[in-house]
Amino acid sequence: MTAAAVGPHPDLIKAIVSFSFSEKPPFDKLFTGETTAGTVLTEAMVYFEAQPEPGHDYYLTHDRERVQNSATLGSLRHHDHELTFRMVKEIPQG
Amino acid sequence: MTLDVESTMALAEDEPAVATFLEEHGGRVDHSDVAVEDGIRWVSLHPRAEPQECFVARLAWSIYPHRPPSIAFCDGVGGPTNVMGAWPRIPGYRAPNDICMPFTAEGFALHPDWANGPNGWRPSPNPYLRVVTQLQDDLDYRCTGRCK
Repeated sequence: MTAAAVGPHPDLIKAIVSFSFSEKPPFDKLFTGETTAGTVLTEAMVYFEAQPEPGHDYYLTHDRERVQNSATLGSLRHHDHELTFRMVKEIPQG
Repeated sequence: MTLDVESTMALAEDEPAVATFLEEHGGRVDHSDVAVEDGIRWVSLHPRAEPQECFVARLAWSIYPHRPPSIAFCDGVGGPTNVMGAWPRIPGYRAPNDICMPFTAEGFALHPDWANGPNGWRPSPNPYLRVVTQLQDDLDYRCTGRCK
């Protein structure tokens, strides 16, 4: 057994999402490495009760990069089992 | 305009989180003793794509946290706000006048309809941090350079 296999959930990645518009603490949940950022975003939006509306797109950022919804968590992580995101709400301009 | 005591205290309470966020993004917050009483802060920000560039935003709070701040970019901390080159080129940022988006006093003054619904001003949590985060996100993801 390799060192990486030791532990309760060696293949899972903890995604942590914060959202500056919400009073709630950050969303966090374990996902597999094949899970896409889009899935995390969808679950985070439900958690934060963020309603999709015209003119209000939401997206995730990680390390100051906008994350494509198609990106997998496995492709984003480096060595650790935790990924921290910010959920960003696009607001309209006048 | 002098900030009332409650606003001054609330602003000071929320500021450490803002300072931490800015430090993580290479920026900083500045103020003078007089500016503290006036609810004015200068926030230095660096775009992700061009970290050598520095934009200084002047945030003027009238009532905190219940009203959005007046925001303008200025030519250095304490500098004038009417300098085109001090402003980033971002949709909704109308250099050298104002930012017409639902996180500024100017935006809400021009669009009273924003007061209700999803664009309404939220006095919590920490609107100071939310405004600074919005400015940083706009510089990181929507900025196409410096105005000329």
